[in-house]
Amino acid sequence: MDTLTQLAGGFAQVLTPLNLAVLAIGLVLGLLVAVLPGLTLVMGVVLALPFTYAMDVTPAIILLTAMYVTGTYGGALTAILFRVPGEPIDVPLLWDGYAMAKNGLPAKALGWTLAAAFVGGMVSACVMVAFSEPVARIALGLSTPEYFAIIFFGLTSVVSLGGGSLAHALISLWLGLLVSTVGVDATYGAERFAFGIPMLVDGIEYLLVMVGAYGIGEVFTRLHQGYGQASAARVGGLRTELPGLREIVALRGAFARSSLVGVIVGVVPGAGATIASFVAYGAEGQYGKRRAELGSGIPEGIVAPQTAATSSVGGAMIPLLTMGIPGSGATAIILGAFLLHGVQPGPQIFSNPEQAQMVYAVFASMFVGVLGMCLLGYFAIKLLVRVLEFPEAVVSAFVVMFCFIGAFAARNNLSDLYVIAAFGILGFLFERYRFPIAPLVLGSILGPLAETTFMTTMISFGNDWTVFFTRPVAGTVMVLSLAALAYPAIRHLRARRRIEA
Amino acid sequence: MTRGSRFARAAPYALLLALAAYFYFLAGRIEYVGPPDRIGPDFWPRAILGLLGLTCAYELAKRLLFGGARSVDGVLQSLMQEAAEALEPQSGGGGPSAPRLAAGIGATLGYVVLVDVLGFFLSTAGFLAAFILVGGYRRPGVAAAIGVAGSAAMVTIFMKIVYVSLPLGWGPFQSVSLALMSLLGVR
Repeated sequence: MDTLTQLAGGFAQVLTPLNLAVLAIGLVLGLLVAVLPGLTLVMGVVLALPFTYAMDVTPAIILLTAMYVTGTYGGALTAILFRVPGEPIDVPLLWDGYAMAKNGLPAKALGWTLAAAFVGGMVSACVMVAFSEPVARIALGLSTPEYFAIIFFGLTSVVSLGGGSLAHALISLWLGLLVSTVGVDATYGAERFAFGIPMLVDGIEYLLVMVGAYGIGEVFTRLHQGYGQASAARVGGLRTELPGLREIVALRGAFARSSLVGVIVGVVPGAGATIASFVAYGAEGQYGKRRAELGSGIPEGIVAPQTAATSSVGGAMIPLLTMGIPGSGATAIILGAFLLHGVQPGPQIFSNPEQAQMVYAVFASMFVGVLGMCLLGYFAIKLLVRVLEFPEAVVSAFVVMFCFIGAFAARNNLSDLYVIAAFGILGFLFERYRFPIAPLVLGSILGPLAETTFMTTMISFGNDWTVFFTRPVAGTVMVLSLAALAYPAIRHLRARRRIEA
Repeated sequence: MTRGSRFARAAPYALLLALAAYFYFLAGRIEYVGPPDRIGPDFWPRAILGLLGLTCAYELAKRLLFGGARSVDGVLQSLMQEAAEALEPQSGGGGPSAPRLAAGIGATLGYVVLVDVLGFFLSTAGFLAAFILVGGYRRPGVAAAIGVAGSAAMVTIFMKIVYVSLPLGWGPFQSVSLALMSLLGVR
């Protein structure tokens, strides 16, 4: 009851003109970013960050969350219509979404995508409302060994679930953790790897690593490959045909399965919308009623990945809000926005009435935002798809500029531009030589927290490292972490055996 | 695979291994005051560097002994490889180009160095136009116009609405920035 009262208060906040306007801007920007060539969901959230500096924390988080949600949907339009997936999330939509469009039913394919995004988004919002406060209460009872174990799980899962080889992902993670040790350490106040350079004594902000590696690095990669030009010439009679209620009810199994997959995968750090989308499509291939027809352009093949991708947002936001642990690039930027506004997400966030009200406003904005996203997707599709023709060279130049402004404005320090440019080049080299960027970024974000919880545990338990395995919760999570690390190797061995057989 | 190409493939890991060893040595020289029975601020970075060294040594050995053909991929990597045939091949752009990349990186680094001297407006206008042309846009006049208009728009948004204090530049360049700001109504 208290939760519903708080949520009602959140709706009252969201429906104020300012917050509503910010939400609408976030939705439009999120869709544009998803459709614009060369931009990804994470880059979109990165680019919006500098605009939030002058805002209060509530509209700032509403803006970024709206972009995050719409980013899981917008790319579906180009994947289905032009076989151009905006980013890996949209790849599974090529199999049935594009096939359905090619079978002469593009309006129906877009309609199913919209319905799936709506269901996924609503599930996402409901999950956030229902589980955030209970999870925060549980997190309040955790001690430093458990916290370290959870962070360790986040780091190992980002390594095992990510792109690139396992060894490259590990190298990327170690480098990210190493970057986070530069500067003055939190326990002893000792200077590490600063070489007397004032810029390094202050430490390297994770936002610089992230904006440089994800934003500028991606621009350099695309520049090196050469910008292509997608054609939106076939948009003449474009429209969306929503499925009927009976059709939706007939697919309730697919909706339920993929919503569950999305939420669970979203909670796992490093997994996010892309893995959710693939896993849900795979689950449909194994358990769906029409699994034999999957790939021929059936609605289940659209519903599964899209519902899972959008519902993963709710799963990803829960560890961020309740433990201050971001599991993906987008949630890491949202964490950055929280910190820039002086709010530390974590178990205590619901204990502070003012912060709790802000969190419920963000929850309420999810409900309103999903509705707005669907309205925009339904009515503005022609305009959105036209954006595809915008020259990528122009988009990229502005992306670099927004990255620079975002980096500069956070601390008003011109030296940060050098750091961000360096990480941009490193990001390009990582992409070029197939080192995943996510472990580098997550390492630099979670590194200080991992070190602090590790050192505090060691000091409190007399340097006894077995405490991480002997306490029930910490031990379980540590075993899960090791299993996560071993999983790709087991998968690899199984695949080799299959080939040999 | 030839011996030379094996060495070339192993070289980056050898370099990283050497860097890890150097930083491990530096970590041992971190100065701090603390009880002798506790682990110090060098423990965490040394643990990371040790693990980095081990991973690099593994890759180095794999590439030197076996050519590095087989590797265990992350889950997303495997999924993307399986899905690769569904992806549209990259169109246009003329394929990878190192000079284009070098020009883009050069423009970016040039901007970083010059923004303090020229001020935000002039350096941004120049950078936007240059980067658009480097990206393959064929109309220099339009690129220049986008550069100037984009830069002025950003000055307006960030200085007038978001209240970010952007660099004004030195000497005569500062005068240009101040004149533009008064023209745009930025105080």
